[in-house]
Amino acid sequence: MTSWWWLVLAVLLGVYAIAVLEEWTKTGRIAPTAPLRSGLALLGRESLVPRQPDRVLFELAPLVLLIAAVLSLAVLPLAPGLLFADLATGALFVNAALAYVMVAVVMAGWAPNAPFALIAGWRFAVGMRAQSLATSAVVDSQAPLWNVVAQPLGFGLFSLAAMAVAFLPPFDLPIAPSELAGGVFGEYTGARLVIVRLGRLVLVLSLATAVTVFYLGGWLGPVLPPWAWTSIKVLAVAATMLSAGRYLPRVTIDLMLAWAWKLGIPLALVNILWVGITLLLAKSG
Amino acid sequence: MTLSGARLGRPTWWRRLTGAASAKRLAGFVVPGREVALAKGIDLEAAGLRLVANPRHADVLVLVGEIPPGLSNAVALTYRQMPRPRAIFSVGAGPVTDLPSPDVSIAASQAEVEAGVAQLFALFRDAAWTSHEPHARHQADVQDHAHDTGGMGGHHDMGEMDMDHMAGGGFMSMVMMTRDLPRSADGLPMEWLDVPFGPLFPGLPGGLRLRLTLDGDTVVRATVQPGALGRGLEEAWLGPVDGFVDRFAAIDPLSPIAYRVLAEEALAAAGAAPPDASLHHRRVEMLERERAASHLNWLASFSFLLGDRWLVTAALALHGRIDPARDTSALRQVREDTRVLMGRVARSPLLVRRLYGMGRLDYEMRPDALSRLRVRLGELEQSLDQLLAAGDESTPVEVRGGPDTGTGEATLETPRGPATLSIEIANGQIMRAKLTSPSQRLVELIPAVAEGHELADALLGVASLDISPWEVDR
Repeated sequence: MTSWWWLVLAVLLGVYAIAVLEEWTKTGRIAPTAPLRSGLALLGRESLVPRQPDRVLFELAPLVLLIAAVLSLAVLPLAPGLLFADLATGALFVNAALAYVMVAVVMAGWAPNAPFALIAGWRFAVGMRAQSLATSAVVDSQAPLWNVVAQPLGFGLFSLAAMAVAFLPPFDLPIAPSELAGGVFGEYTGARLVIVRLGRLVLVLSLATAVTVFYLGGWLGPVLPPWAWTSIKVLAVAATMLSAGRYLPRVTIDLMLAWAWKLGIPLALVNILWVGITLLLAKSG
Repeated sequence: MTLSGARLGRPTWWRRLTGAASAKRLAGFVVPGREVALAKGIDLEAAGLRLVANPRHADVLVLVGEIPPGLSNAVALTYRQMPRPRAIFSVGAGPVTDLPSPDVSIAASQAEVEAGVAQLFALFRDAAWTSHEPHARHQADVQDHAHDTGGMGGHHDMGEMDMDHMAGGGFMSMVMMTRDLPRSADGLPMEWLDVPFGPLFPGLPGGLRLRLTLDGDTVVRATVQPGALGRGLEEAWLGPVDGFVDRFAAIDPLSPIAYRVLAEEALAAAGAAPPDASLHHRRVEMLERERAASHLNWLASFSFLLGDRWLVTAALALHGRIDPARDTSALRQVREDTRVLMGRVARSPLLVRRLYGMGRLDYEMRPDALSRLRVRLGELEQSLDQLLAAGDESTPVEVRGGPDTGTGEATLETPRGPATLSIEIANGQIMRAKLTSPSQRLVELIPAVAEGHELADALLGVASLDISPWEVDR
């Protein structure tokens, strides 16, 4: 039971740290109190409902986003034994939970009865592509060699896909401020917007943790305690994901689809082949 | 101390806390657009405001410069979209119909903007909540602002269209539902959306109003809807020759010097004393400075549309240094940094890939967004070179009187292309003034660069033209 409290605390701290990092990537300043102020300010604002919305979807979309992000994080270990649920199919569960991010975004696009949001929802539904074991075992298996070294191709593909799932720049198609004035979340204000932003932060935390667990050896590392290594790696991955898009123009939907189908899937197949070869070599060795 | 858009409720400690939290960094939605503020030498972000692209996420409606009468309705609708607590910040703007009086009103200068933002912070900290309904709630405030469309365009216009063919009750097959709908290029019946973009859309210049018909994410029809500004300036040009230059220069806040000089040249052609060589020299210098600033202003807006945050920051930083750079060493540094920026743009394969072929026109050279970017960066370089060659001296353009009778025509290369003004003077009165501006020609290209493209590419094509709606809507 105690470890659950530690887990909740770790997640809350992680979300807060990522909010600080996001502010840093936007303004270039480290402002430790900025997320707290921003959250309080939003809670003090009116939470408006647009005209003729699909009220149920409008209210549910932020919650679905938050729940999907929390569920995907639940099976990712922060240290040995420190995770909400140690499932035998943890990696699959992460993908299953992340599929509901698409559901939440499409719901948020449809619900306000506004064209900008609707177009943004379509974009994500079209552009989202699927990416697909006990997660603790994945970390343990990296003791001799991290997967980022063994499978650099998989690492690159997974990281890019993670950025697209979290609609981080340059994949921020459903929330493009300049093209669709905020897109799917443009009609959310006040407390509802707090839930949206919290959900997105948890999503970024979850995906950064997934990259860490699957490719960067999770909690493995010398000297420091396991939780510290996990924290350092997760924050480094999150900072990279948040700031990478700063230097790139937003990708278009056709370019994203072209890359995903013509490049991403063939390269993922190559990666599978490579993993098979390395397994055979390891067994024969 | 009261806030016109305070939120109704007893100011408890929690509510005071939320007000104080919002006061630390307010979000502003700029009207008519950020490009107008930049052209006036105002950097709102440097003054402490965080600029947002959606009034739903704004605390402050920032009015920059005189708001044209044609925009007042869109501005009022935009204000209504903002959740309370909200404020109006007037930066050199007069009263706007259907809008409450500004909470803070200042002249258009950077120093005053910083003081004004500090006042806004104090207002939000102390008066974000009010127990009493404000005595004189304005018409714009009384209406339920949660249910309004916005000046950005886009909101709710699809509602009726969606429902029309869905209504009727009972089961209706997909074949029946889509029977009379237009077919897409792939032959499938799709939902078409008719969506207004502008006149306050964040990805387009303020005042430009388009209506895009979307088939999914593809623009099938792009229509320009002129008259968004509705200023009636052409009538104001007529009248005494004295003051004509000032009246005419008000046409475009994005390039006021070019139009001031054009008016002077037209007066000279109509018989005024010919400009002396030194005056001509200074004018060229001012024009080149304005051209350089205008291109960087465009680059910042264009990069924002692209989503390239680094390029936005770089363009804004250079823009902020053009006007203060009065001595040769400062100009040389700006020139060097511009060279670095151009090198970065040329070396960015993703940027080149993104712009190549976008907004292509069926002319001899088949110019696209990439070629337009390169041309403007080249012109920026040339303008800085000319400023460096001009030396340190710089004085404002002088305004001269005009002849009593005569006709004259002048053509000037403005930042967006050649503009021609012809005037007719009789008895010290401007009897006729006809302007042909570059944006008039550019606006006609919008359907060619937008139709048949994805929404993002269509907007990119339109933005690459660097249209000034102020030149078109007079």
